Amino acid sequence: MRWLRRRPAGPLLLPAMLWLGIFFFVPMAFMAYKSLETVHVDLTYAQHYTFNWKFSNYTDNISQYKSQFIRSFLYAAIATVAAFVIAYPLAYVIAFRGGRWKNLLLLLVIAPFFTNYLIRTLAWQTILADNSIVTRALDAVRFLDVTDKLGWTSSHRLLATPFAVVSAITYNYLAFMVLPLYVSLEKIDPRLLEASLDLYANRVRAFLKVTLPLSLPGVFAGTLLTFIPATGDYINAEILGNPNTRMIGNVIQSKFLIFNDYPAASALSFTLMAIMLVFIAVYAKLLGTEEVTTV
Amino acid sequence: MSAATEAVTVEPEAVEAARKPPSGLGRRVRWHALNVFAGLVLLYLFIPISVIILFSFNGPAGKFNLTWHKFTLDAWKHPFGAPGLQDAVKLSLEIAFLSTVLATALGTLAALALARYSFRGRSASNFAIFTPMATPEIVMGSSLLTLFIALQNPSLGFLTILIAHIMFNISYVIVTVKARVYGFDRRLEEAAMDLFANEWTTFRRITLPLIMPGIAAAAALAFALSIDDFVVTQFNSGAQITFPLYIYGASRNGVPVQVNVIGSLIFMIGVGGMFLNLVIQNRRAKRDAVASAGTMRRAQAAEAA
Amino acid sequence: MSNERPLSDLDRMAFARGALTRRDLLRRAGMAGGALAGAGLLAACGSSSGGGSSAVASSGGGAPSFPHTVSSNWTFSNWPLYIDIKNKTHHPSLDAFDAKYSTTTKYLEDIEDNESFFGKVRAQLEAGQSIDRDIVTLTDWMAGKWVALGYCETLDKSLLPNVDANLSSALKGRSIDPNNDHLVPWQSGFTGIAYNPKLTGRDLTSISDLWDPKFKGKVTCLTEMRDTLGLVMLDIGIDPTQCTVADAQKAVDAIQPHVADGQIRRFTGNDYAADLAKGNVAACMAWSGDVVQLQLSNPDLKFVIPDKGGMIWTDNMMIPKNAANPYNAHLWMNFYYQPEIAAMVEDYVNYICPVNGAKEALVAKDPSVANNPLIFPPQSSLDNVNVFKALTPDEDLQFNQLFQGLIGG
Repeated sequence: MRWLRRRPAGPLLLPAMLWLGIFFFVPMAFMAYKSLETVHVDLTYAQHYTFNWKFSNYTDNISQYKSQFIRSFLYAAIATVAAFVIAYPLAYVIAFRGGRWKNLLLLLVIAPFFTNYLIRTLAWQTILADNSIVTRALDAVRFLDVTDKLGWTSSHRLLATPFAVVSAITYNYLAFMVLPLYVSLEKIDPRLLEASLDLYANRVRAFLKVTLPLSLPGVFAGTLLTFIPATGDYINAEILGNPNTRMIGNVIQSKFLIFNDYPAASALSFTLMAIMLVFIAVYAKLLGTEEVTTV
Repeated sequence: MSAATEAVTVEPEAVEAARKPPSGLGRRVRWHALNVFAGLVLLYLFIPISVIILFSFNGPAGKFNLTWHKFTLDAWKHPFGAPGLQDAVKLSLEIAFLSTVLATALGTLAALALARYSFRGRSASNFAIFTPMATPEIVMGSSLLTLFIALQNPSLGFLTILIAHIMFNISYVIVTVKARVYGFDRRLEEAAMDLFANEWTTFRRITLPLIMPGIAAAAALAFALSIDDFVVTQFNSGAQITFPLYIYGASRNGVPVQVNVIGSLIFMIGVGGMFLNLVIQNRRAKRDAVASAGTMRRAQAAEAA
Repeated sequence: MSNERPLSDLDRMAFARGALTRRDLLRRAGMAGGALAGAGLLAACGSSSGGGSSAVASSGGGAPSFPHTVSSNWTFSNWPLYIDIKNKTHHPSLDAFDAKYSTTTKYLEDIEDNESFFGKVRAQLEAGQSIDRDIVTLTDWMAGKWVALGYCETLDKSLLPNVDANLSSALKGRSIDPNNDHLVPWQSGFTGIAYNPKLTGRDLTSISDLWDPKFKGKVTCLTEMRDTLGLVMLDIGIDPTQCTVADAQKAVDAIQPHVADGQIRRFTGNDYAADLAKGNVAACMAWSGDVVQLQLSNPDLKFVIPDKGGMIWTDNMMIPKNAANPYNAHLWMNFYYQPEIAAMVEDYVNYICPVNGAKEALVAKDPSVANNPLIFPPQSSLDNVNVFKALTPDEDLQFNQLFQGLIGG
């Protein structure tokens, strides 16, 4: 079997790895170095950094911004679950019932995400405005009463509430959920479906026992590609949120841009990354995918 | 597409079965409910874009394009009417195009290496490629800026934005193409190699076309990510202003209607381009199907003889 | 050099950071200043790569030197919608400037926030690199930081006779720039309360009105710490021109309950204007110029300076360190300070004009603007507004930390 012959994968792999090495990992190393520095602002506003293994940068900042961390993970998790619930049926329908129209439908799914992230989020500002059709309609069907009680909205409005932030995050990352799911579902041999229908009494069991497990790589990729950027997102919280919905991304941004407190910002960023990497490893184990990073 | 690997004269019954609604009223309702749900989701996806397109026809009273005032084609007639918008869009397009081409090239090669060859350091490489996707954009952007400054002559601008965009695009390209390559039936390659002599031809005529949808998807993703990127660009753009940066600056003071126009245009061009790609691929698939059907028939005739 | 003042520690450090460059040395010949400055320059150059030294003192206050030739293009960075605009593409004032001096102005509207802009260019400034801009416009407290850090070029006042003649006296000799040799005011603005009487049902006169439970969730405050804390301090009886960290804590404590219970919808930059326009917000802290603009489409909106006092701030033009075209920058600053040009800009910008004579120049052309008390305010308004105290770096940090804790970290 000639294709099993080992060829050096090096030349194929090298350019990409070199690029990532220089422009991702080296800066990360700088950042790690910076996170262990102490910053001192002197009389002329000049900042001086001393490298002194300041691990308290980590402990101090984590305890101070605990609630923002937790909130970010919570919002991202809710958004991911919501995105999954919304995206899976869509991906399923396109993959299995799309037929000739598969690619066209996929195009329709991706198309809205060709518009700019900021414009989309600002559009939600218009759509969810206090006097908009959507808000008034939801108010009329008492939806806002329920969400007010739950604390998701307040004062019968949608803007500047956790609900707006989470639903915008869900929307903005939906494509990242649909695409991997579709890719994975589409690869499933339809004859397996037919066989499963022969084996199981109903379609639901067939789905749960055959389709869903086969689509797990896609589920894994989709949930990660959604959850991870959602956790670090700050634009949705900034445009559609209020002071009580601030996420860790907002904190890092302000630490970096307002305080110019690079050690603290770096420490917070590394913490965020570390937590997410741990999460990914645990998640991978749970799902039983042997290699964390393969799809 | 798995369908393309089958004999294409007859669609497999399984696919047919999967696509027809089942018998029984309850089942039919559930069947259609799923389709309806999918349709609703599609509609939901288009809500903001329709608002954006709608408001591109608005003639706002003041500087805020937030409430409908009157219908006008003014903004469409002068899409670059807002100062600085043209340069910003031009820059965004250039960066997006270049970074897509380069990231897709680099990423496809890497994906092939990772998916098909086994070598030492493979899982480490996988992990390394995965890490940028696990990193908040703000972290990537700010750390990259630090690097550029430390290099003593960064001249922040076009080059640095490009570098940053290629950097974050590579991972997404690799992941997308890898997914495609994994599902790829190796036996086809093997068969091809038995028929043709060398690996390059196999690659060019069998592998590449079959993984092309994955590459195309990766390229589209890279382009969309690049043209859309805000956070990383903000830190590494120096004096250059891309389209997203322009919008952010304008959003505090009233986004001009032209921004909606440009947004709609990008949307339409993107959709148009992908649609065109679809049509081309369809044609090619049909042509290949006809050709291979012909080959099959000749083979069968030869066997019979 | 007879009117030099002795260098303070701050200035010395600023000079040591490279306020005088090798370029200055090479172009010294023939410039005003003469041999004495030349000697001082040589000494300064020797020490410019290291720390400050006593040799630097003798060259203090020297006019910066750069060739007095017009460059073919230069870059002017400003806040969005902060200059006159015609047909959505031209800036008549810049066009006139370009025509007069045969140059091309690259006008960037990329400053949307003082801190984030600073964060963006800080690394380059620290490394002593040019930020590819010849003028940036920053609010006084940030401008003061740049001056202290030595990130702006010293101005050559001989090139700015119009500024000297027409700058409003209130803006001369400010603590952030005592000799007026780093900053040239561009526009000033009031911070007060903007509200929609249709939504509030009554007129508002003080910050306490913002805490009316009837407006719950329909009130916003500013992310600009000095404005929000300043107004609240005035409301609870503290003088923001002389506040301490303890005072800041009191102000934060006064606002905190309203954040917790959702009275304050959120903290905004200019985007409160969008909320006001859409009716999401009934009343908010606001900047005068924005409201003037909003009133064009919604004449009901009102802007008031609170009874207990409002804030005033100024955005200043300055030349960043190692700018490539300082001569053009000077020419523009001088050009702008002609009353007719300032009037041209003011007609669109609608903030407070720092140029004496602009009002008179505008009266004939656009009396509604000329007579607008928010653009050319009467003395009574000017008496009721305060400039926030210039904070030391330590206070700056503590104030910011308190405020950030308030707005959610």
